Amino acid sequence: MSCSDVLDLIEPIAAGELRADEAVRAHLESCVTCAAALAAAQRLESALKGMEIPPAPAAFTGMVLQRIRRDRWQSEQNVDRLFNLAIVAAVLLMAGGIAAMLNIGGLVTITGSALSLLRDSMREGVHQAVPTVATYVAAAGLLASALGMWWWAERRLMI
Amino acid sequence: MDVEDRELIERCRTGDDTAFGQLVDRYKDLVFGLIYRMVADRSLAEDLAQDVFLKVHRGIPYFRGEARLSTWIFRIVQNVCVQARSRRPADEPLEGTPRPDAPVREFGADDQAFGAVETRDRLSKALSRLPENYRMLVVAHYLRGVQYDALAEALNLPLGTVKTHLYRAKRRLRELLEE
Repeated sequence: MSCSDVLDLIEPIAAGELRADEAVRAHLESCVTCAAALAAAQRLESALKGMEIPPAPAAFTGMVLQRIRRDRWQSEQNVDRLFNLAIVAAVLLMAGGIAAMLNIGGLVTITGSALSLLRDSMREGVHQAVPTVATYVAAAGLLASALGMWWWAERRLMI
Repeated sequence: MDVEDRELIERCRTGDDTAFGQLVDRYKDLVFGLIYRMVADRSLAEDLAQDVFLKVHRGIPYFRGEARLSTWIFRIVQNVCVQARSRRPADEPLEGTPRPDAPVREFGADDQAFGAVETRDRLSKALSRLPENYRMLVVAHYLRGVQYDALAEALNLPLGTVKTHLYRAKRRLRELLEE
């Protein structure tokens, strides 16, 4: 058995995971280098087993929980900010829609009496209102998604 | 996963901060110890250990319990250490690097003369000079008692490979100690 063969087995033997067979034992008895390597590996093994690690600081758990609360608070803040932005956008869209409606109403008052004119203006009104339907749908969608987000955030906080 | 871990996880999922505190208490020494040996800086180790538990807290809703909790946490520790390493500048010369003219000393043979403190110091310095993947294995296995099968699971390596890596790591450690 060569030194290289035995040196490959030094670590498992030192760790007690492999029993040296007859050939290995004979080599170790006759080879100073391999015997010294085994002795060093055994010393390392026992030094590693006896090595201490400083424990975590006493206040560690409290610090972690504090960071978690801070993290949670920040994510709540982000959800709040998003929710507020969505509400502002929805209100602006609705205000735009109402302004458009008032313009139509104003048109009706000004053009006044004649039924034909009213009919015309109504036809015109419907014509003008059709494009704003999309605006109302978008605003309602935005409002619904903002409320949905709020509901989701509340539910997440409860969890 | 053991029953106590499973119960803790279930309680954490319901938002029970006390349960999470118990989980931290249970694993803080493992996490802190591993990281401390990897970064060799107490304050940085504290920060990184907190990062690990923050990730654990965020990940609990998605933790399926297929692996042991300790294995999952060990994997997070490993990722956090790798990320911390990538954020740090290039390695500074290590404190434990020997002078070229330093005499060869046999590790542990002079324990009686220099005492256990000197042995621990030399071992710590040698550990800090081990390649990172080897260091993690040695620290996890010896200093925190993470078994081969848990290491294999956490590192996604065959059991035999983990053992071979650990043997190589110890051989390298022996060489470093004898420098």
